[in-house]
Amino acid sequence: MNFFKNNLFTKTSKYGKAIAMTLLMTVLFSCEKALEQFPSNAFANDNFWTSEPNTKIALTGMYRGSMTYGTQVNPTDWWNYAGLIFLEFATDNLYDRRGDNSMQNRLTNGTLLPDNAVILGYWSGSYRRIAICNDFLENIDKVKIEQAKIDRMKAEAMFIRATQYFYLSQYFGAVPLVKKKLTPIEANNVDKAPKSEVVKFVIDELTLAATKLPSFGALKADETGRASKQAALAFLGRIYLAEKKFTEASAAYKQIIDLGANIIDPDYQSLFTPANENSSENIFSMQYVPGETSNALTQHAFPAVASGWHIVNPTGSIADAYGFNDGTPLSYDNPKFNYKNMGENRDPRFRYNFLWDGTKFGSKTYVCHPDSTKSLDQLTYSKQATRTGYGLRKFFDENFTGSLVTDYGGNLPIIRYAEVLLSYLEAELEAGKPISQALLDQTINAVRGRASVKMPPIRVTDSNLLRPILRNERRIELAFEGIRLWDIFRWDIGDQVLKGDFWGAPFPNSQLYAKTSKKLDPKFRWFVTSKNFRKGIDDRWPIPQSEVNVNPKLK
Amino acid sequence: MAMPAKAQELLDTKVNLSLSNVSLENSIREIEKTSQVKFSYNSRALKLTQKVNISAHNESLSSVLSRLLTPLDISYVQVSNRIVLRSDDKKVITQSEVFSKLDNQLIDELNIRGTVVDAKGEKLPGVNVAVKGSTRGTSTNSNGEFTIAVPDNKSVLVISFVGYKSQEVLVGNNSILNLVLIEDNKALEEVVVVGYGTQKKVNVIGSVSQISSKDIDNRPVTQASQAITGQMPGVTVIQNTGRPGSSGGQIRVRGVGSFGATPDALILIDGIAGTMNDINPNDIKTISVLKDASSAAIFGARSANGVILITTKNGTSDKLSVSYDGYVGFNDATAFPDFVNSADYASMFNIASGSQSFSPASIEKYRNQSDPDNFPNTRFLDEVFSRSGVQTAHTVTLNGGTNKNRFYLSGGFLNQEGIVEKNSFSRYNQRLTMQNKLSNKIELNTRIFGTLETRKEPQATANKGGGFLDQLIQNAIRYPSIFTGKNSNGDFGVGPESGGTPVSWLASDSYLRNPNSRFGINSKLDWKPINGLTLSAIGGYNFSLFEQRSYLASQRLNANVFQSQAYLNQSSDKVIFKTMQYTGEYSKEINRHNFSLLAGYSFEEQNESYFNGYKQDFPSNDYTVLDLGGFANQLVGGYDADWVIQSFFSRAKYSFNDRYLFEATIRRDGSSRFPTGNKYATFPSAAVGWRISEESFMKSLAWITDMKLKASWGVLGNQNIGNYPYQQVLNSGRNYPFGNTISVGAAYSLYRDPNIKWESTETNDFGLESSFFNGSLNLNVTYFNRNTRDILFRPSSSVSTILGVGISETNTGAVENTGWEFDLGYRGEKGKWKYSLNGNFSIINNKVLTLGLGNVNQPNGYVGNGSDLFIGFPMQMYYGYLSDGVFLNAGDISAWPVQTAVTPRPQAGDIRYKDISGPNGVPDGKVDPIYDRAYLGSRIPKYTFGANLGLSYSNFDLSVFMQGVAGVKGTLTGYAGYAFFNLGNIQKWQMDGRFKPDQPERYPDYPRLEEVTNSGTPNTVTSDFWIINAAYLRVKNIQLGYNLPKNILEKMRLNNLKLYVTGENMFSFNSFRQGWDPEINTGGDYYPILRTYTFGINLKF
Repeated sequence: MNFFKNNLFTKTSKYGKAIAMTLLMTVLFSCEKALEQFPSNAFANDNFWTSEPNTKIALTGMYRGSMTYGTQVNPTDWWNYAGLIFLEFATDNLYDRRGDNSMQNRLTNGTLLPDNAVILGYWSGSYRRIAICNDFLENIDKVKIEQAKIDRMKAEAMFIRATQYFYLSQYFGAVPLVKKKLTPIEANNVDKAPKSEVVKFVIDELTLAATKLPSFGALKADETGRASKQAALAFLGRIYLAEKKFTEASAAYKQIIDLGANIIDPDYQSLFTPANENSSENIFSMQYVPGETSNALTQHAFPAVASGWHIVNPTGSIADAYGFNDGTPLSYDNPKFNYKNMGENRDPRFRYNFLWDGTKFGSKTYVCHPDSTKSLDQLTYSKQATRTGYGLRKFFDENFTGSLVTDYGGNLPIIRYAEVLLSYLEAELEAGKPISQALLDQTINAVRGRASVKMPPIRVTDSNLLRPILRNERRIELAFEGIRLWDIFRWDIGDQVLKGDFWGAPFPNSQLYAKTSKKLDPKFRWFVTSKNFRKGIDDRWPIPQSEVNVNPKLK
Repeated sequence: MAMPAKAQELLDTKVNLSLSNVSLENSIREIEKTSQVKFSYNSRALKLTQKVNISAHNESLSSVLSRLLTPLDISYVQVSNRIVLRSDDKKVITQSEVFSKLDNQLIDELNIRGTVVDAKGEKLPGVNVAVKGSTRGTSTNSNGEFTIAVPDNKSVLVISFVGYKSQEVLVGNNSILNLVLIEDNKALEEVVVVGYGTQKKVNVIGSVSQISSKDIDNRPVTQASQAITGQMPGVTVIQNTGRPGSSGGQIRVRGVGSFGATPDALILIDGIAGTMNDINPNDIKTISVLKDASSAAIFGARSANGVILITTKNGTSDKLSVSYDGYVGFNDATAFPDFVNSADYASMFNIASGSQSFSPASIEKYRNQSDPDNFPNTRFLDEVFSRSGVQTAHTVTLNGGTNKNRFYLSGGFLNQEGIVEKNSFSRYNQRLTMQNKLSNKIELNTRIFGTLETRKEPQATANKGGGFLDQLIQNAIRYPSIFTGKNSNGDFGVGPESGGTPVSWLASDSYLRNPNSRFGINSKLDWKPINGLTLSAIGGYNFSLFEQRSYLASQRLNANVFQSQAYLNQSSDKVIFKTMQYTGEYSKEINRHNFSLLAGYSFEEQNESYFNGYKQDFPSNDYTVLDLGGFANQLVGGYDADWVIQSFFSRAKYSFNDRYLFEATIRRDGSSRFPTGNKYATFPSAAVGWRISEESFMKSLAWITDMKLKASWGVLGNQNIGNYPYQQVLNSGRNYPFGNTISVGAAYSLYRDPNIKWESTETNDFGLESSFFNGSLNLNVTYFNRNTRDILFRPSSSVSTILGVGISETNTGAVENTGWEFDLGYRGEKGKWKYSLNGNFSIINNKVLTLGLGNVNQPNGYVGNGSDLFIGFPMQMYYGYLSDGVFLNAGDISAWPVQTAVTPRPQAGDIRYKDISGPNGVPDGKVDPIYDRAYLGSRIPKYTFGANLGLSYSNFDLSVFMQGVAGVKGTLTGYAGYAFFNLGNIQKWQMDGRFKPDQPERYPDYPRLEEVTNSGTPNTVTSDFWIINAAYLRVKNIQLGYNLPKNILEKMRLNNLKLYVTGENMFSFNSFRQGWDPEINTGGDYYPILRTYTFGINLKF
């Protein structure tokens, strides 16, 4: 300041001052460049599709799709726990602890409306994946790398896109078939494509993808979780099954079996825990690792005694579908049945998949008896605990400690080889082909005969007698894996299995049962809910209300 | 003449000036301005039109005045804090004697004697006393006495004196008149801060509202935004939290201008963009809000939603003055919801669930509290909001300097305790302002400020996860009283989720600390090379560091439950703002033509860099730094973000004879947020004003002090959107694991419009400003019309999710805000009583004109996105069903139009929705979402109003400030609105007002009790059952003050001492839900608005 005062303003001439000030005022440094700014934490599209590492980044983003991590009730994707496992709330396998008004429960209890948040979640999650795949397919050819690598990645994009249309066609029927990136105006003016067109697209894309994808056995260790030929063929088998093209379905499944890369793992329980999640029985799984991409099903489904929210409640209906270990169906009157320990003498998969009163869960004891008023897991209608008398054990490493939200990394299978074998048998059966014992042994008996299950083999070759056995085997083997609702839809049995009263576990000696259970049952089973599936309405989901709001053509 | 010491000092004030050929009147004005001294004189006796020359350099006022006035036979004395000028007594008296002699000869007359004093009782010499309607007049002598002859007792005396309010007195039967003249700080002389300068209020033709420190002083406001609530018409401040440290106010100028870009006003502190939180309310000199286009256009690109100019205090007096302001206050909430006790909860739950989950025996135990460990009655809300927070603030200012170098230094400390344990906000701040006259022509203004503020909050523990409002408070609202808080043996209850309860969380070692430091310096160099030309350069630099440390602790709940997780999240966000501004302004007066031209350039740049780190598994809650965390799952993240704006602007002003006013502004802005080609935009404005009161035909209407008609037009911009909205990118963060290792992923996730441009708002403004009865009554009326077009909006609810990605801002849609603003003020006095009343009222109509992309013709005739935006309706609207009570019984259900499309299985006690239309435009016997939903109101208040009542008697003053809104709807949802929401609690009004099947009532306060999931039920869909009137009238502030009398002050060697007591947010009148403040729309994660009682002191040495 002194400089200014003494030199500039006092000593210089008036003229000089004017020049100095004018200079100061007119130093408008060139700022035009500063107006060009670029984001630091996103990849500008124009210079992104240039190198192999960048394609890997985009490929990763495509597998991630619209999955979100952390706890979640309404799905954003078919492929996370809220999308896959919670879909079984709408079936006879699981009950949502949040009650009859839960959006998943309302899918099939006769109160489905177009403003249901769950159907919107699946819908928008599907189209999000589709858009990412379309973007990928439109840009990947710009990258100058080996054609084989590009072909494989394109096949992966086609696979993922086709799986989304598979789900959309199975639950919504006719939907818009978008094969390229859209502008907002185009998106608001799309028309629905007939279901047959969507199905054809799925079949064509999966067929093509299967030819370009590597075999499951060829996936490197750091490629676990990426799509394989078997995964594409399994989805192809699914859509043929649903479309009652049983011969084609059978052929697709046969291809997987013939590739010989997958096994029925001797250990059933560890297939669903980090210990053995990479077993070659798990053809395609949702990948979770602790930390940023953790599986928060632990938080949502652990029992209250283990600080979970117990949202997942297996019903008595599926519990009772697990027969005795001699192969006979369950009966409470059978002396083999022990109310005090319901796992005794049962199909071992009941023990692997369920919690019931008095069982151990890790180091903790799960107490859900209606009379155990001090237990957090007491069976009532008021606690944040079981509503059925059962809890979920499947998918969990019981010894896990750590944050239930952020630290669990167990994968969730989307396709298992067990499903492939059971579906293959179903395709053969429904195609009207003669069923041989060899076929049974190769399929259903391999599944139920694995070392850790060891249920006696099925020896029924009459297709009409075999069908209910196969369907029950499918239900209990694939329990809670997100397949049951699709099975109910394609078997068209909603009005048989999703109507009337649902019950939980039996408590014959309970003091409080009679006072508390909303309805009473001669077998002392806890009352859970009533469903009223509307055939012809609830087996096709409506287009979400908010979508019709912006595009009335979709109604 | 014996003068008190203080007065002598006034005359000792040092004066610097240099004037040549200037009228004496203007020289006096100039001295007033530069030396902060006020003059009074009799404009009738003294015609100060003589041209004079004077220059003084650091000379005392007395000497300057002597040199100036003695040759003109004018003498001066000091009265109170003024210098009174009068012509030589002898001459005047002679003159008046002549008049009275003449008059005496003509008629039989009345002789009136009297004295004139000021409000403090000091005698006023030289006051003009005239008989109305005649040429007769006289002046008071040095003792303030006068005599005058009047024709009869109907004569009216007009007492006038420059600087005081004129008075008219009917003579009547009085022969002796003792008159008191009141000082006139007339509105006419009021100066208003406008963009790049100040303007006399009478010459302002834009719509500008201003409040000054006196409107803020003595109010216990912690943030400046709270200070303007209700003070200005057209300015709506929605205060929706009492959370310590939160700015606590969403400021909307003239409605909500956009449904896209954030409709926030631009805030400039001493010309530099900032936020309301940057400043200690005590340092504020003025806050002015530029509401219309003509006043705001000089700020172009970011001014569409109004501009708030804050100026800070300067050094003012030549002698050192020290002052202290301090208060201590006590907080509690304005409203608390009333949740039921555990026994009532249990019996209500049984009803809602249709079960006997709670047996009569257990309900009795809840009722009689014989076994509180097992059957507790824990009022979690009371446990969390457990204290009355103490709030204290201290500000010390030093103010003074010499004529050439002045300074203002303030240091402040604020500590505000929340009404929750471990919750507080503190702020230390310092501000130094220096004005240095480097020469006669160059002045340097430098402002330096620094602030350190820290917000502290408790949090839930790690196993529960999450924060203060969304976990700790929300679960205090949610958890029913049947859960144990703390057992008699000291163990904590594990709560419904084994994650503990708000009671255990509050007792845990979890914490959130949020220290923010800000530092800023800006310098302004003004150079006046020639008369009328001012060149200025401003350089500003602000540095902010926002840090946050959130530790979620491990905790022992009881012998069996140890919450072992612990984690620490730490982040720092550094923001550096730089600006350079150059302006030049030239003013010239030629005859009665006044010109002024301003031109300028400004460059602003902001760089932000963010960094965060995360670690978990801390072995001890005592050592909570990242270094001591475990090594699994550690995370770091960070990014940079920058924006730049470059602008050229110019303003021309012209006025003729202070009567016809014209102003035009143009600004050109370039922003980094827009693509090449669209970076620049030009924002013009123009305004005209007519001071109708200056016209000769109005002069005869003496009761009209001032009256002005004005109109303005302009276009303003808005760019409050993300930093890089137009660039096509693949967004990061889409990571996914392969082979048990996370891979970095990115995906197409946002559709971006590569051609976006500025959002612009065109505003028309018509106004009347008037002032009557010598300024004691003021009335302003303004009509405005704001049209916002090319709204930068993310039309996500207008775009089908089939697009597959989110949508970034695109120019779509238009909104109109029209409205009226009224401002009425009156002040007066009677004896020792002084009173004032100021009211403001505004009406704002907000209407969506088009949505562009979202213009979907809905089957029910509405045009819009089908959820929350429709053409012809306000924004922030509620769209849902109309209800008609509830169903009483099965017969009632079957007689009503089929509502299964909303309520698939209706029962008695379910809300009965109206069938309002159908495919043919008439009710179709079905209630469905397509045809039977309608507009139910908006969260934007249509009417806002405020009233300020001031009353003083002798040394006491009282002010009452009320404020309110009307024509507004609100709602409570989630845990706050619905009973048993997601296993939540039930409020007393819900229990009492519930539908009771055995006593069915058509219009209960609450429908049948049921368990509500977090996705709601058919009863909780949006309907007018839940959309309620959120209008309120709030007694915002009542304050009683006492100024110690002069004689005591003198003994204490004090200049001023004021004691006051204040109540803030005292009470409100509203019909909102019982226990909830109408300004709060929440689902449960909220912080109550606080009521504060304060005792304060202002001291000046």
